[in-house]
Amino acid sequence: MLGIATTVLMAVFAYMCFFYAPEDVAQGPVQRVFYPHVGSAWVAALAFFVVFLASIAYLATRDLKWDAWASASAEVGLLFTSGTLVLGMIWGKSFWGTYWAWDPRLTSVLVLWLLYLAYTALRAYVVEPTRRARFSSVLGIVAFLDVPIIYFSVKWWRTQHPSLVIERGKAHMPPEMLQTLLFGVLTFTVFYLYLAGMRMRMQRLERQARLEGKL
Amino acid sequence: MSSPASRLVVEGVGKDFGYHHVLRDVHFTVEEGEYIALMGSNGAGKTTLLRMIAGLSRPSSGSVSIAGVDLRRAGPGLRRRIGFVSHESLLYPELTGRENLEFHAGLFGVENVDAAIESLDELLDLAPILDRQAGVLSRGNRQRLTLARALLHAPRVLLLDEPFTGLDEESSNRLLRILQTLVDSGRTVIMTTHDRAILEAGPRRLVRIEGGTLHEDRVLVPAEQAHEVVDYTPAFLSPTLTMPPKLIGSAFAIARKDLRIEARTRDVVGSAGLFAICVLITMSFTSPPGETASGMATGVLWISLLFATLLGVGRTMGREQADRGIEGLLLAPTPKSAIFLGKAIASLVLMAFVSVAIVVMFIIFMAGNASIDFPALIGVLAIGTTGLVIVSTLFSGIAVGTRLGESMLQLLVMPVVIPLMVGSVELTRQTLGGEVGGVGTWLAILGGFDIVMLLASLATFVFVIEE
Repeated sequence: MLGIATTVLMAVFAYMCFFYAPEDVAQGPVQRVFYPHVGSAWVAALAFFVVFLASIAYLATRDLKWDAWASASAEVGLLFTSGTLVLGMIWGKSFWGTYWAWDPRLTSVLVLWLLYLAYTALRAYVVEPTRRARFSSVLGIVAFLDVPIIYFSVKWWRTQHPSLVIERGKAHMPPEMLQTLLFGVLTFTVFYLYLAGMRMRMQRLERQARLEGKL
Repeated sequence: MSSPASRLVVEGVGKDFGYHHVLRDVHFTVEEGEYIALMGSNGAGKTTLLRMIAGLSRPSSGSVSIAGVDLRRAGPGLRRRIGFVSHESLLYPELTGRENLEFHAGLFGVENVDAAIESLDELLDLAPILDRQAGVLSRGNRQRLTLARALLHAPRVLLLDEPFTGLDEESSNRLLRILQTLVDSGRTVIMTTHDRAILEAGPRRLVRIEGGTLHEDRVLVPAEQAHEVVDYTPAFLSPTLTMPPKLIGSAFAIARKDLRIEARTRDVVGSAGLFAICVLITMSFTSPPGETASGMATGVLWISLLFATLLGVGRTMGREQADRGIEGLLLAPTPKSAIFLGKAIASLVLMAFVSVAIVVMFIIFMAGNASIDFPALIGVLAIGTTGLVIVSTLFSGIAVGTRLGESMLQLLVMPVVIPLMVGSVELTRQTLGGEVGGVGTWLAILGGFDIVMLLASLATFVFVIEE
């Protein structure tokens, strides 16, 4: 069901990106990469929040299903964070003339990517499942506390990004652009749920196979 | 004869390590004053069961309770009723026998430690080994010291995991006499053993575990044939006990212990300091001298401090895990977060020394003729290093439990401390004559980071060190 929904939503989103939303006069056609970029960034943050919640749930209940949620979310989150960085670099090359500028927001997403990598690496180097779950949960909780710093970095440091285009409910863009942006957030959220769900299912099957001695 | 004060109830206990079930649905009750031999083949789950009764390992299912209270929720008074002698000595090799005993006595709230050690000396003939470092003792001598550590607080329940392994006949007989004395005084003794001859020498009840389940539970010596409990408590079982130290007291005791070990070995300060200075000097070639205002030089300074912290903190935690000293701390009736706090305090003190050396080198090699605001520089160093130590201490507990060991520490710490590093570099640059701006905001970032990480670490460290 989620797979079908994702496919449909992606198709509509693609249409909106390329045909519905008007072209930005200043930035040209490359500005359209902004829509999936924001969607990916939203999922990157959402996935990490899910890792945080699932980590707390695991430590509270010791039910490995929460660890499965956390790990699935982290894997998908790493994918979307990578996408955010790549799309951001494409946009940056066009807008700034360089693939990378050490502005706070981009840097914060890079830090998030490193946190995901650390989480994934930690899980790879702990063999015993309950210990892996405990360690990952602690890292997931503590690392999440870096996320507010990412969010507030635009306010705290000078930045080379344009000013926030959505401020306190008042958009600085045409309605079509805003609708495309928000639809992208919805689409990518469903996409995240689909991928995370798939990963959870794979983990469940693997766990079942191990319990039955087939692995 | 039986009293609920130290009755142990193992109820439906199971333990899984991921997909491997070590124990399943084990039930038995131990009344006060019982003398139990816990037997079973290798891998049956005896040690796992004993560790759960000691509170070192958490059951995956079921519960272990003492005096009607689940061990997981037992307060310091109840936890102090248990003593544990494991395969490892849980002693610190760099400390003498006396220093080890004094340290553990402090954590258990034993007053008049000298008198307590003296009474144990009479029992175990400790005099020849008290002033020698635990690391140089023979197996038999270490076993005596380990037993002394476990008996210091006069536990009501003594757990021993294969205590006769490696002991000569004289030592074995002495141990059997001591265990009998404990039982005669109304204490409970539970020991694991493979040696069937031991069954003839004291235990009154046999509990057998095979394949993770309870296979046999029978009386060896009927009650009417057992020794009578004497109305006399030997001196070594009568120490004066006060409330164990709380969080801060325990933390400082642990910190003092770490600093004492460091003073003797100079492990951390030596290696971390030297490493950091090498990094600083090597990287100084990448930065023009005197260019402190550019931030490059201050970046080199903070990279050096970061590497030094990772090396130093990783070393102290690795040492704790290697010697299993951490289990001695877990057995103590003190808050688990005191272990984190104590190790962080010790690391902070050590890193203060290392920082002084690094900063002196930095000023000589990289600062040129920059005008330095020393009070501000010290403040930034303090706040930044505190954050590095806090995060490193927490993650070092995780790192030593992975296949990569201490090498994992870099991977875990570096992404988390990036905001701290950025702020520290920026503020340090300003103290070295750079353009000043946003100091309040930076201090808020660094201070907030330190506080948030400290609270998070205090809350989560218990999950890092539990089994």
